[in-house]
Amino acid sequence: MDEVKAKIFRYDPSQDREPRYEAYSIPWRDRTTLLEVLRYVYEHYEPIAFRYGCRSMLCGRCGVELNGKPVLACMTFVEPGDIEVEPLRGFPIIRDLVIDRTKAELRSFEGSPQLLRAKPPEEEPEKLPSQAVSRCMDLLKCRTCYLCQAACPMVEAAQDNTVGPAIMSRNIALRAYDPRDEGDRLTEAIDEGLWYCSNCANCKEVCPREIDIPAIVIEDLRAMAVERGLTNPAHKRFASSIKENHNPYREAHEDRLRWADGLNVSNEAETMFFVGCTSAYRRQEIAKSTVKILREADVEFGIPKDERCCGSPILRAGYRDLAKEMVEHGAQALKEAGAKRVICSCAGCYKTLKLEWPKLVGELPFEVIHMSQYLVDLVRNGKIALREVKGKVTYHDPCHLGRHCGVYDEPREVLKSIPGIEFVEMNPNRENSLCCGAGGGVEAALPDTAIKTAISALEKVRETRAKLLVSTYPFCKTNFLDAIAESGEKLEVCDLTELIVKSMRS
Amino acid sequence: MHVQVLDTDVLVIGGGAAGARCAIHAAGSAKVILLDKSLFGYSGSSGMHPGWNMSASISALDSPERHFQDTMKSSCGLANPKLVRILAEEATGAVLECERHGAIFRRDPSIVLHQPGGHSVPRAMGPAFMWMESNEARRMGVKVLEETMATKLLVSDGKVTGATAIDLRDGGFKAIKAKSIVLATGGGEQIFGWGTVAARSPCPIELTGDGYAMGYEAGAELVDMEFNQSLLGLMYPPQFIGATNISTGLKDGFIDSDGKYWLKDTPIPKITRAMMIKEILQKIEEGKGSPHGGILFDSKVILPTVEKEMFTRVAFHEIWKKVGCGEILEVYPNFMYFMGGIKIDERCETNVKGLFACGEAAGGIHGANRLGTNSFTDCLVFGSRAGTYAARSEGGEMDWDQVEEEKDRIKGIMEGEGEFRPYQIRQKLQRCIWENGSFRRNEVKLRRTLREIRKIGKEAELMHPASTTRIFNYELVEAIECYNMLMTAEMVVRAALLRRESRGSHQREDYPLTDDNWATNILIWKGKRGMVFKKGVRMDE
Repeated sequence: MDEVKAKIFRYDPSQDREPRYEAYSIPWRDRTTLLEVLRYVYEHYEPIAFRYGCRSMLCGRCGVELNGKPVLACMTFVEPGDIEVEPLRGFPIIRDLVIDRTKAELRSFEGSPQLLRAKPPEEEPEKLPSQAVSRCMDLLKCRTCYLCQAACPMVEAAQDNTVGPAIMSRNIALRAYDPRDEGDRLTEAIDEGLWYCSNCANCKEVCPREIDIPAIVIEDLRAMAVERGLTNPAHKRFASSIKENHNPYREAHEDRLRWADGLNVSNEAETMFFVGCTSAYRRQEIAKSTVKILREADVEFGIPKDERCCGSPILRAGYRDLAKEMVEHGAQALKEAGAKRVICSCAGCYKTLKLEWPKLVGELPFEVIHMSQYLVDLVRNGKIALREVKGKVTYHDPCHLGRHCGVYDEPREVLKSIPGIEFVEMNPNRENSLCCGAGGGVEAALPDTAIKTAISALEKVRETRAKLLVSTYPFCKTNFLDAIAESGEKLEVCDLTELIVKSMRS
Repeated sequence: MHVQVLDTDVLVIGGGAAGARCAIHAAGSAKVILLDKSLFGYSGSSGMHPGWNMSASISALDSPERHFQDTMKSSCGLANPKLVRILAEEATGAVLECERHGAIFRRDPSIVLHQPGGHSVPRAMGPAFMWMESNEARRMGVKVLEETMATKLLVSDGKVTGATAIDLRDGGFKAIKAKSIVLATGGGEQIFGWGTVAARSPCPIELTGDGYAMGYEAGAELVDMEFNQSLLGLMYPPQFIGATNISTGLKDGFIDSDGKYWLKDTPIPKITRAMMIKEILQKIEEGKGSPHGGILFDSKVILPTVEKEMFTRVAFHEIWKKVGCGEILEVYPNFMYFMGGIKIDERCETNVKGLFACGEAAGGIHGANRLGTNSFTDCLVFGSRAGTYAARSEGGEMDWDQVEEEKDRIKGIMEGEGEFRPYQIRQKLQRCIWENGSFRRNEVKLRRTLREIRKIGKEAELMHPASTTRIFNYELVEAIECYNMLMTAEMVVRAALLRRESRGSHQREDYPLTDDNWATNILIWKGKRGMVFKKGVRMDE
């Protein structure tokens, strides 16, 4: 008979000095839920402590971590084999899997989730615009299970500087969108950590009700704040730089292609390489590696003559009008260059072109591909020859490529195809991988927090004993390098394209 | 065991919609303590109910009179017309108060109304949220004790003087002096059956009839306990019991063992929830049920409604994604509401001075069958009333001997010895009620159940928790709940035995017809030698 072998976190502060793990075997059948596992242990082994109530994802009380991922035990199925169950992180523990939610609840209460208005309406029931109401309905799907709170890297890194996704969404955004509310919810949002979101989408990933917090809470609130002139100074700086110089780094627009001097790259082709600001100005090695690979594979490609910011940083920060200008220009330029496919080696550009450009300018006349996906084709078709590179390597899933776009397998396939590479997974990985903390304007606005987040992500790299950390997002690379400089970690970081170039040369 | 003493004007037991609304209304003029056995704002049936959850006659087509008539009709003549009149007249105010507390109902741009079965006009709106009511209670200064379970009401000279409680988080024992107590403890659905993690009910695990048992012990009268409402839900695979319900709109999916979709041609207006349940139980009786004793259900019929019904059915979309649309599953009725409960007057006061009840814990408002969405409204209307009147009560003197006695009882449960763990007693009881006391009741089955309940009651004396920890010892809660469930079960079964007819949710195989002579209620109270049942009581007198 199939079995679940559950390792369960045990801690009774009245009896135990420190937490421990106990192992239990539970018979498995099709779609055994995690709650059934816990109840089985409770009945057949010993009365472990856990909370539950409705068994149908409604009361939000049975949140625990299954193999490091926050889940509702009631409707989460487990597979036969080993599992690990722990309490939701970031909360004080009462006993075993039972967390103390009081602090979060009271903090939520202090922010007045109640409707704020001086006097009740003259006529009840009042008429309200259905569009504004349905915007509130999207947020009212929340069951206050706090899974997002446990999943948010910023709740740990920024401590009390941010209320975290649950309260930002259920309380602050709800009232900010509520047409009846008279409170200054945008100032409240900023005071409660609106700038701390790195757009990692882990909250969305774990949400049982599939609420798109990064988009309909954070980005919408930031856009409202920008409209009201409540801007973050660092965001404002990069936004004005994008307006003036078309890049967030205050660099001259005419220097954008300086890295390609002497490379004789065409400006028109069916295959266009969208370089992105970070590779153009800060991580030119990635831009150069990408070009080397495309040349090695005899790909006829071009680089847009007048490439500008893809809009990613300003979309995250809420400058939607400016972003639209950039996107319109970018789409037009690529169209004029005759693009049939556009390759991005930057995961941020890729996400923005692929998911957000069509929303702003309609369907694109070209396909958007990430370099890791293109590399899979090149490797499979033998277009580039890879030679041995020795070393133990792990891969960091950038949030924009992984959780936002669902690209997980391609970078791994490419890495594994390099002879001599010993590839090891970080844990957690893929859908649950840890954010480096740089995205969403955090690196610019709150550099210390970004580095702190990256340092805790590096702990997971250390556990793999890998000597090299590979990423597919120039921005992650920069942040990890900064974190290594800060922490003194002995680790190399490079982009997937750089490793491929190394492998082509050896 | 140390006794922590607290003092308040009003003690509200239960943190669902009724308890919260009661606390809010009492807090304007009195000191209020609210006990919640679990987490305030998320516990009880109210904690899991957004969607179309309240009814009130706000439409131009509607009137309180019409709401009154519909409710009386649905109750099969058994509801207390004075209470139903209050429900119908105060519904609009109570429901709109949710919006003042922060809820926002679906608009287009007026409130969107939905018409559940049995209502003659569209009358349901929502969603209202429990956590907004609980926040309002906190804002009003209510002292909230979470994960604290009341164990006994203290009564001296026919008047409540306080209650005892245990704190699940630290194992502490509390004596709470109060001028008045409001029971807002919800129903007792957990007595019905057992799946793998809870009863055969969509209601949360804490609905164990605590208020019925504590009220009964304190001398309060109960009414209509034989009426327990059910609705269809998944029953196999067993982990989905209670996870979702099957509305009449999904009747096309039922298949008998011959492979016939026999309800496909019956038009929807002809099928009420009760009829659908009757049809299905009939099929099962004929031997045309599913392998595990339910009826087969082709969940492909869900597909077109998944998106559309997302907000009318709570978490419908997400749950069906998990369950797997398109599979053949098994379905059976679940229990989801207790129409009966503690008898109250228009002030929500019971026959015990200073003791009030509201919400599902109270009886008399829904008679033999409740109209969909009237429950949340009931909680809001009568919760507010209970709070208002409870705040005006005068105190009595607490009898410390009673506190000591209860403390010894709890200590006895904790330290007792015996062969059964609380969950075993609980599941025995649940299975026994399910088999012979739930649907298709008859004299033989009910008598057998009653004997079984008494036997399990004896075994409960040999019940003890496996762990002695003071921190979150849920077994202690389960043990106390066992006693409450035993008492609730006895009331249900004995009242069901007494009522020799079929009416509303109470269906007897041996008395299949509704008998006009039985258009009266059964009253229950604690006599000198056990439970006393009085039939032929009329609520409007």
